[in-house]
Amino acid sequence: MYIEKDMFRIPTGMLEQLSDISKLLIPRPSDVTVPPIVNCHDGCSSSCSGSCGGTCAGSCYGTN
Amino acid sequence: MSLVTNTSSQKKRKIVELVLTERCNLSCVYCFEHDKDTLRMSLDIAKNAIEEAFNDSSYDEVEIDFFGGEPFADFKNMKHICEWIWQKQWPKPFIVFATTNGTMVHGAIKDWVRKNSHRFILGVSIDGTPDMHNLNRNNSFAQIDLNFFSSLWPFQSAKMTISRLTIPNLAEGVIYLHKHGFKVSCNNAYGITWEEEDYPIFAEQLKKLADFYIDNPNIEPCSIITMPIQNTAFDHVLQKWCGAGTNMICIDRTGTKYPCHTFMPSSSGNSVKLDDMFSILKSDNLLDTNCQGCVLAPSCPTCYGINYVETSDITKRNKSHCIFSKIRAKATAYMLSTMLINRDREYYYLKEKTDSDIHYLINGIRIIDESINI
Repeated sequence: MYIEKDMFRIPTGMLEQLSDISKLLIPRPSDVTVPPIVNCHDGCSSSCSGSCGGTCAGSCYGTN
Repeated sequence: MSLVTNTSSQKKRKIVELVLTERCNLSCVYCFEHDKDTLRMSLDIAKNAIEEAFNDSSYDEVEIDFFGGEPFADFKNMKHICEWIWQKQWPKPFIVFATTNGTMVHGAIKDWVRKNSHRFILGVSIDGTPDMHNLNRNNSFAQIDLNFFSSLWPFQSAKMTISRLTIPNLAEGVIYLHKHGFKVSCNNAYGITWEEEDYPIFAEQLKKLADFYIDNPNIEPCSIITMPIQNTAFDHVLQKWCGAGTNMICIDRTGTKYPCHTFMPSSSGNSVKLDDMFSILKSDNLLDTNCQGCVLAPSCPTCYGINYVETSDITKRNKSHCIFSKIRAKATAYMLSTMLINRDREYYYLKEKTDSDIHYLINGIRIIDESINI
């Protein structure tokens, strides 16, 4: 074990509440094709999600 | 022409990265560039690369990134290229950007940057509190005008890299930068040797950060604690994490093209077979075979250039980052579960999430909670 037990524990009651919320928000099948691309910041087209280890040269800004 | 604020553009952007110089006035503890030379990029090479990017019909817009070394170590060329770009008519929208250590942006350079800040964006590297920064980056904190950067480009994240020296203060460093007006892009340094004793320290720091963001709904959580755990709810594994070698091209001072700067000889040595690299990076499957079957695979980012530097294989990851990724996933799930239950507090992170996004986030939280044990 690398971390203290229960450090990031999510209480069972909270998971049940989340499950109830999720059931109300099931997307239409047409919305579900591929996982969403998550960029490390909006506008970044590299889609590396911060994986670049300090090497990212990307701008967070849109074009003029 | 006004500066566009941050954007979620769906437009395809070509990124041309110009390594103007490998010279740098700092020597950071985690620097991945080792065999630096003192060559300068000729203006013709720079201009040709930029024209080529604009002529690529596969893309809707162009980003010109100045990189180094420290690009301001060759301010004369950078200024010339910028002014050449701005006086021409281009067929596509574009942005000019530079990554900088901030230490050379003073006096006449600073005046020029300020005058052009509506069309020239700077991203500054700051590694947390003054003490943290000084440990990692040559005691250079006092040479950086933090307010200059945070006030001119409020949507641009400060780049904060964590080393073994600064990991015990990770949360303090991120919070410090937020308090000075920065968004924060934060990650553990690649290319250094991490030890098992770093993992509990990292977890403790992410717990502090999670609680900070839970208590401060208006602050955008930094990248280290917003892992895309929703992707675990999909069977499909993301094929590629970045634009290296496809929508991104890097040009060095000789005009040689690389997938990104980490493939340059200064980082990866001289043995890189560039044709092979470009070809592999166009592949449909770049998942490390050791990661197949891992529940985190769709959510766990990687850097192909750093992989190559460390393992001589684009796909093979340094496994010391596995536990960090698992801790990040647990911390992200912990933080987001609390935010989602308290959505009435209007958390920044959840502001633009659709119902579908929330659904998959919750599924991701459940999967992480059930599957990841560290």
